[in-house]
Amino acid sequence: MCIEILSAQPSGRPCARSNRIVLGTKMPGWSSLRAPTLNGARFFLNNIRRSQNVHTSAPKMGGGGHAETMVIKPSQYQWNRIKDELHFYILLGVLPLAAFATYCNVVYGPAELQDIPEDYVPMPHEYLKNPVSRKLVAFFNDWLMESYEKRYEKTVYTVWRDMEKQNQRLDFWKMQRLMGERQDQKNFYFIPDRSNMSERYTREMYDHIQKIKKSD
Amino acid sequence: MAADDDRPDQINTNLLPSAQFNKLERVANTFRETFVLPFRQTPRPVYYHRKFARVPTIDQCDISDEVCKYEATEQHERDKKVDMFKIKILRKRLTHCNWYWGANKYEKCQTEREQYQDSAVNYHLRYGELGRTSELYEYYMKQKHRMIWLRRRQEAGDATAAYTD
Repeated sequence: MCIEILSAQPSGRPCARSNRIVLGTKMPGWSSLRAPTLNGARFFLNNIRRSQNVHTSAPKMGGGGHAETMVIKPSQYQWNRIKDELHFYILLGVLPLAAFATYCNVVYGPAELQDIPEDYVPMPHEYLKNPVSRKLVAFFNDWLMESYEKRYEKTVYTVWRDMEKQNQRLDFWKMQRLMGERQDQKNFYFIPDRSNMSERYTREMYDHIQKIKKSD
Repeated sequence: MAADDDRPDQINTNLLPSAQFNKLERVANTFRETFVLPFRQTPRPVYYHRKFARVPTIDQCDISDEVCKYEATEQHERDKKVDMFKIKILRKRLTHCNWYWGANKYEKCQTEREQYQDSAVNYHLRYGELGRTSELYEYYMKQKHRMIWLRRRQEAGDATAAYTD
């Protein structure tokens, strides 16, 4: 096989070697583009159907005489990458998760709805339908996941605590206002005791004092 | 009306979409009975619906009792959701009846239509035209204004303006 060398003046006669396509048309008015287009078209048409093997500049002569060639062909990068990613996501994602889901639904199955029996308080994981979420909630019950009732009681406590604080503030402001209006008290100020703001702190101090008293 | 107006057309029942779905249902049920149900564990898991105790409503709370107000708002949200689902069920019944009867829907679906429209009107009286508020006093005041409006209409001579729950 031969490679066409791009020359300034294209030849319009048929090539001596048979495996080449030759263009020899004359296009009026396009003379400045004639050479590159003809050469480009010739290059394209000569290479369109087969990949050419090119002898490398320093061919490696293996034992036996066949040299290594570099094959010129369109890139296989995208196709190979598509296969790679499909393989990855299907074998590591789709198949294991599908197997897990079929196992859960076939062996355990979704829970059935029933009325709460008398004098029975269900666990938090018994309010759920999906077996996977039931297992998770039962395992992480008080460690990572708190129940609805616990959350509710915590918010009720914060509401109560903030209400108590605000009431104390209002009483303090009222006392100050009345002192200012009536002017019937000695002028040493009332120093509020904030240690009762935290119930936990007061309870711990109380227990500490009781322990000291008992040890005496 | 003919005697068989209450039953669907006997000739072309196989063309109904429900008939086609029944075939798929049969295939799926056989698959389930052969490959899924024999492998199920016998003590089946059971789940319950949460039961909420009734707490005092907003009209029974002190003006400065924040805890009572918080619990009343939670209860009110739950009640509103329950009312929404009730209306959804009634609307589904009406649409199913309309679909089933087709051209005869104005004659055959009177009960469903009355139920849905009455419940929709009551829902609107209670919860509507207030926007997305989470303040319970808005709903409470709406009830108060409605009672006042009805009383004034009654005093003006309109006998049908009576407050009903």
